[in-house]
Amino acid sequence: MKPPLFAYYRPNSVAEAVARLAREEGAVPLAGGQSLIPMLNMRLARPTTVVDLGGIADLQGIDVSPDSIRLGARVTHAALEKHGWPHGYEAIPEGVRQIGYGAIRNRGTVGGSLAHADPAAELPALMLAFGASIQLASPRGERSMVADDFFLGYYETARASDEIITSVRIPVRDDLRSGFSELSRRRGDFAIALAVAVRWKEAGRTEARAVVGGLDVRPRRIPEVEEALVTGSELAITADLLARHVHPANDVHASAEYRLEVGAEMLRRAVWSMENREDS
Amino acid sequence: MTTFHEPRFVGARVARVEDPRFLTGQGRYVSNQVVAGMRHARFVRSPFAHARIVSVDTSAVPSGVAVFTGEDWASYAIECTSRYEGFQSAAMPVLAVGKVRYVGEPVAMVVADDPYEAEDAAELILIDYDPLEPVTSIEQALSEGAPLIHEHWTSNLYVPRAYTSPDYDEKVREATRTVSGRFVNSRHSGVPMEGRAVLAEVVDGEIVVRTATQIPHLIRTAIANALGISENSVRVISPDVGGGFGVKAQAYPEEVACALAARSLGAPVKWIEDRREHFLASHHSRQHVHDATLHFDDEGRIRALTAAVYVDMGAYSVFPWTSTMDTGMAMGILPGPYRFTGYKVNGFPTCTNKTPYGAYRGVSRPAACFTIERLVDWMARDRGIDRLEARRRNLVRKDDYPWTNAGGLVYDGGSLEESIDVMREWIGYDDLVQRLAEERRRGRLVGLGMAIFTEQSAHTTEEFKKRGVPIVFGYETATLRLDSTGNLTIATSIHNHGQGLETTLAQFAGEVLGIPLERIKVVFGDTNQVAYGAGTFASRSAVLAGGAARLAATDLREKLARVAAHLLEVSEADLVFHEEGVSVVGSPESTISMAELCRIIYQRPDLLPEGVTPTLEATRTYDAPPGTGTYTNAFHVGTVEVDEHTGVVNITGYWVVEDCGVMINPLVVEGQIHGGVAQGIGSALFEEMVYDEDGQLLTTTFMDYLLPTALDVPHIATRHLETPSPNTIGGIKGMGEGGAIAPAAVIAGAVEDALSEIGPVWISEVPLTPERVLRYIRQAKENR
Amino acid sequence: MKEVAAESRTEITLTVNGVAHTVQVSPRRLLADVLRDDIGLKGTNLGCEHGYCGACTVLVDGETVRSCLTLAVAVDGADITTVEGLSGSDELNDLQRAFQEAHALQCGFCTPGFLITATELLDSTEGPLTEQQIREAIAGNICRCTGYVHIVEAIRRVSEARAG
Repeated sequence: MKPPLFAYYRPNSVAEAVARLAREEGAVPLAGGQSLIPMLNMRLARPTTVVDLGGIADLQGIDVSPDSIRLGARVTHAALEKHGWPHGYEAIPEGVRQIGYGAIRNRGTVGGSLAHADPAAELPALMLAFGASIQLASPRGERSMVADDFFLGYYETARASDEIITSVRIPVRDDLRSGFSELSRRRGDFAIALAVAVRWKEAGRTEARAVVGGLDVRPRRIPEVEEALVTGSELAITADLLARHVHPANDVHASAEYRLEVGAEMLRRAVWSMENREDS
Repeated sequence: MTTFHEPRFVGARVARVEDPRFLTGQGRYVSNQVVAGMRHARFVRSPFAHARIVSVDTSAVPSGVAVFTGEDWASYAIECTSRYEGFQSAAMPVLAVGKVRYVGEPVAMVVADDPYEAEDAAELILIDYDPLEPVTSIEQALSEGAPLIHEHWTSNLYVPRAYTSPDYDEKVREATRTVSGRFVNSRHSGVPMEGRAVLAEVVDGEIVVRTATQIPHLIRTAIANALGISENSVRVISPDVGGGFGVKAQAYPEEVACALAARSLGAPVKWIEDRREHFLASHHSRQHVHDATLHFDDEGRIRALTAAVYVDMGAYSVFPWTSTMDTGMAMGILPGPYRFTGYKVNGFPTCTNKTPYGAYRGVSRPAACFTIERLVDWMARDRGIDRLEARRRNLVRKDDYPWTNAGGLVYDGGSLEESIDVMREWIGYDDLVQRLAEERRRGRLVGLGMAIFTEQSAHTTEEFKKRGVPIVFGYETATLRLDSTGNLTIATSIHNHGQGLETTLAQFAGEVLGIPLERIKVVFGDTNQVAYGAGTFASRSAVLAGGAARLAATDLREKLARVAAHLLEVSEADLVFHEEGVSVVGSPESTISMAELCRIIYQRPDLLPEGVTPTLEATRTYDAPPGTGTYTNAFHVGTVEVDEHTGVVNITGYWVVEDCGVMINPLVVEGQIHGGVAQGIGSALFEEMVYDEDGQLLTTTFMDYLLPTALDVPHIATRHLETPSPNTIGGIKGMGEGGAIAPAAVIAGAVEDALSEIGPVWISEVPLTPERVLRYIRQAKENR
Repeated sequence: MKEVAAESRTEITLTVNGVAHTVQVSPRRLLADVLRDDIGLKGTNLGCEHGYCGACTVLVDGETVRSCLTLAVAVDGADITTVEGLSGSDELNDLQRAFQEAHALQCGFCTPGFLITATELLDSTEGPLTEQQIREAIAGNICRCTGYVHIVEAIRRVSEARAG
């Protein structure tokens, strides 16, 4: 399990990085490496060049402003975990703590996890649930995209091969509450099913998101649940309900049927957790 | 001056002397060893479970990289043929010739200057396969018209086995009731943290093979046999080994291949197994299916057991065990610690297109314990009696020993009933059971499970000759040498890879001479330095190597006593051996230090009594007569809470009462119990080698094959009983495997108990993955 | 900016256990192999090479990192601590001593990874640790021998002793 041959390029700027990605088809960006390097070691990835984003200062830092929290793409999971999240945002650190282990969280990054887009990973589901937007840069310039549009499929995103994620913006909202729940075989494993529930006030209206992960090729919102969270109406969250929106796969850890069943349970727990937070 | 007494080292909770090298990163694992000019091997492995090799094209491999294929070494193989009549044998090739029989079978080998380049080169070998229908289950293998894995065989059964006790029919008639089930244990394995590793070189005409093995002398035999050369032209060195658990107690084709490559290239060849290879090609274990029926009377007294034992042994018979080991062990131990006599059992060691099947801590006993203990739980339910009481009623009793169980194993002694009584009081069993029942009525899925077992250990000639193995593992060896500074070296045929034997053997043998730990060195793992013996497996090392070391120490003591008596001008009977040397009883001023005594023996022959030779070396073997083994017993209890909506099982408590005879070092004993239980928890909840219908192994990373972590294993509480063995020196018993035997039965019983308020279920399959548990919960609701 | 062709090597400097080492590495070379084979510190063991077992854990600039999931070229200039550097002398440090006294190791292969992980935990947490805190922190390191009971005990003892 040793990586295949590849060249190494460590640019100092986003412009240099994306220029290289544009010029060389087989070049791939390296963030924290906690997904890419196992794939290299197993020779499941065979890039011509690894473009190490570690030298780009612009990708660092967590900046809190009145309307958003900006996470630099190279912010680590460990930094997210330790960040002083505002009241209501507990689902984020709770979810982040489920990512791998301490040593993985020390290296793994926000941008890397979102770009990798493992359907059972925590951050894609969290970002979808919190309505985050993802900033991308390429030789053609910058663009921003909401998480809803970013995740397309199984390890597939709207990121072009010559684009890198530069940052993620999580909107700051009034009266926000959130809940997270995950089932994995062991702590740190990819989820069999996970769920995030978020509710907030916006322009006098109540808004909500209910997201499940691990149940499809990408994290999915469950509109009936969101509706019920907004209106406060009773809704039985069931496997059948989820099955309208997600199509899980069978694998060595669980069957599709089981995933649906526990997916519904995780979503019930995420909602329960959101509803039952102590006010501080 | 104080009076000297003979010290007692046995029983002391002393920290291990071998630890500092591991704690400072100085472990001597094969992967850490470097020799000049070393090159690096990589194997090309079969992607098919069953296929003909049409062609092997190595033309793309760059010059400078050596390549070997099956044809190069077609005349060499590892063969292990049972002495059982009708055994169908097939040699395990070094590299597959003409045909592959499991995914991961080595087909070609490259040797390059660097492990990265070796992996690059291996990718350039193109092999054309013609796939054949794979045989991927026991049912398929034994079905009419199944493809033959070995063409010259008549079926895919290695050899059928059967035993019926003379009183079977009569005992079945005495029974009034039965419970039955099909008990399934998944395919899994020891999975040590260090994979296999080999470094072979030719030094002065001798092939030196450093390999991570538990059985250095047997590997030397296997390599010499495979190559058709003398044993004294092969030296096997097994330095520190990063965990064995049985996986490293087999001869592997890669060991032979590295020896052949080193000889052929005239260069040292190193191969470090990667984790994916480990899952594919290091021998698997544990996969049993038992169809069993327990026959008992109205009072819940067992009369007889009927069983069929199916084991999925994979594609080849492994050296030195043969492919009948698991079946044979299961057939012997299935009656468990119970005193019934009626028994009928059939065994089916089956050949499939899967990785060959070898030893794993406990060999068969976890599956056998699972079957008998589940049946006893079900009997208790059927009769409406407490599970603990159901066991107590049927156990072998103190005055039964030596007890020949229904399968023919001779239990030397133990404390089965006492262990139950101690547990009952220790954990407040009756209150605990009541409390759990109340919790269940309030809706929580909490439950308690238990398993009691005997662990055969240190069995030698009598036992292994019955098993038909070509080499009867009849003894272990120890050579003790005192040097002229009075320090002791123990060179032994067993191996230490975590069991603490560098400490416990020193405690056990040093006591005879009064020599403390810090002046004893234990040498193992080098066939040029230790006398012949089998190695470390089957919970034998402390008993057999310890016994041999004690015998040799006694020989040395006799000579030392004779010389000391001569020098101190007293009778030998008046001497005391202690940490400071040898003294005259009651006269501490008449003391000669061990260093002085040894120095005189080696360097002042003029001072020695008539007829004493100037040597201080003794070699002894020990076989723990009568050779049927000594039996540790243990009683495990565990509690769980089950999540009704996800099926996740959380172990909330685990208690072990164990009796392994006289303990040399309780700290080490507890470490062995903890580790065994953790592995048993892996069997119970997590570990499973999953194959698809094409014979592809789907679990080849630690993402898919799940080992228990610190959050999955609870605190494990232990209590000890010490019933000395009548069969062994010092009354000690082997205990390395026991921890792993019971947990699957305990946890299955606990989960079944936890679901009992919902409705009745009969849990008979492990691992209890959340999905399986949820299925049982659904069944419980349907059965309500 | 730095650029290295696939089949060429570049010079990097790592300070390992306080000693600067300059080595030539190809882009694909893993930190674990540099530590073990180029610098010769064999204490960092490789147990899976895909980040799950934790045996190869080292401290990079004070944080635990899987050295099997780290390209050496990407940590040029880093300050690294391996098991060989834990005590800084011939004596065992308090954590190593506690591991020995509590019998927290058997085959020893995973031990360096546990020691490094426990070092980060003990250095980054104040006051005595609970059993749960310890178990969560070491859940990314697999031990196949000990059942973790004595490892937890050893770390707990050090945590209590350091908290006074």
